[in-house]
Amino acid sequence: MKKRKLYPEEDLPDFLKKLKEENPFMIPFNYFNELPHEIMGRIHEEAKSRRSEPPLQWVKEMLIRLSSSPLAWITSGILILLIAVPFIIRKNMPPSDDFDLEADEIALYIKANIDDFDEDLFYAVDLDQIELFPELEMEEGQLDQMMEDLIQYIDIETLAEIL
Amino acid sequence: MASALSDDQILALIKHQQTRDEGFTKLVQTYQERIYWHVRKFLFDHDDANDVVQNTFIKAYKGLKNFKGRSKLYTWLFKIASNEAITFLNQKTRKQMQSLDGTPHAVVDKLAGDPFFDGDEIQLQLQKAIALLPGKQRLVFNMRYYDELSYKEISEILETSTGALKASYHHAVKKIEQFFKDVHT
Repeated sequence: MKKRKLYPEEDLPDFLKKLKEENPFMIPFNYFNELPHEIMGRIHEEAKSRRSEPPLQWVKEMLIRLSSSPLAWITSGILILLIAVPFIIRKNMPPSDDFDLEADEIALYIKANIDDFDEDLFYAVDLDQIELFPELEMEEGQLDQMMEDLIQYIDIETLAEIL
Repeated sequence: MASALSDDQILALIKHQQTRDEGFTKLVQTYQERIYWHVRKFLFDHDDANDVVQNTFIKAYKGLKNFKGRSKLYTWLFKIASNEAITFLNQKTRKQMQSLDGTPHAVVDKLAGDPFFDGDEIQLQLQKAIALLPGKQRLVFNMRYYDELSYKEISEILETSTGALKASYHHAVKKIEQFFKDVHT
């Protein structure tokens, strides 16, 4: 018994066989003579514009590509945040007073830089302009009382040693 | 009329910088008609087909360095043209759906007033029936019906098994038959 083809290639109905012979589509005059020149013209034009592209053209192209893909936008956004956030946080933090310097390190620094100290600059400072003691508003007798209290804390031997 | 060159001769011309343009012009002259009619019967409109054909050859020019010669040149060109045509159709349909210009009926109604269409009523019905087929099935039907490619060639172009292609073509023919039956009853 002859095996039946499941999808015979020649199962076209007659009307389709007949319609296949006609071509109802038309083309503009001389179309196929001009098409190769048009294509070559476009190829040369593209090559020319690529050569004269400014160097930052890749940025534009990247933005165009990004705009067509929401996933790319999200990924770029996350990357920018990862890079930018540590900078922003550091910038907004109050300056720290903790230098974490050891006493030895400070001593070494002073020893190494002591020669750079400008004595002339030191003496040039007008001491009258510097407020060494802030103005205190005290009632009469209050300063005497304060001095008496301080004297009690002074060790006579240490004072003698210093003098 | 361009003298016929073999694929190997065309590729040899393209390989050398000095003869590249001459070789590519020969390639376009050799395959432009087959590619144009393949695209035109898929998209119906000449201007759309012209855009897609030009883009196809420009892509081919840029991609020639990747052409390994494992397939024939026209199979490779058909593959690029089919991808371009499907992409174009999808973009156009998305754009026009809002105004209903992208529906198959609207496409064929436009064809009736197209100065580059000279078909009678039955040809218009056939184009409408073809326009109603889903994109890939339309490609399979056209490649077999109009371009007369073998299933093996279509299989290479669309990267689909010949079994699936035969089934797709068979169903396309049945749908078109049914469309004509519905119209004439």
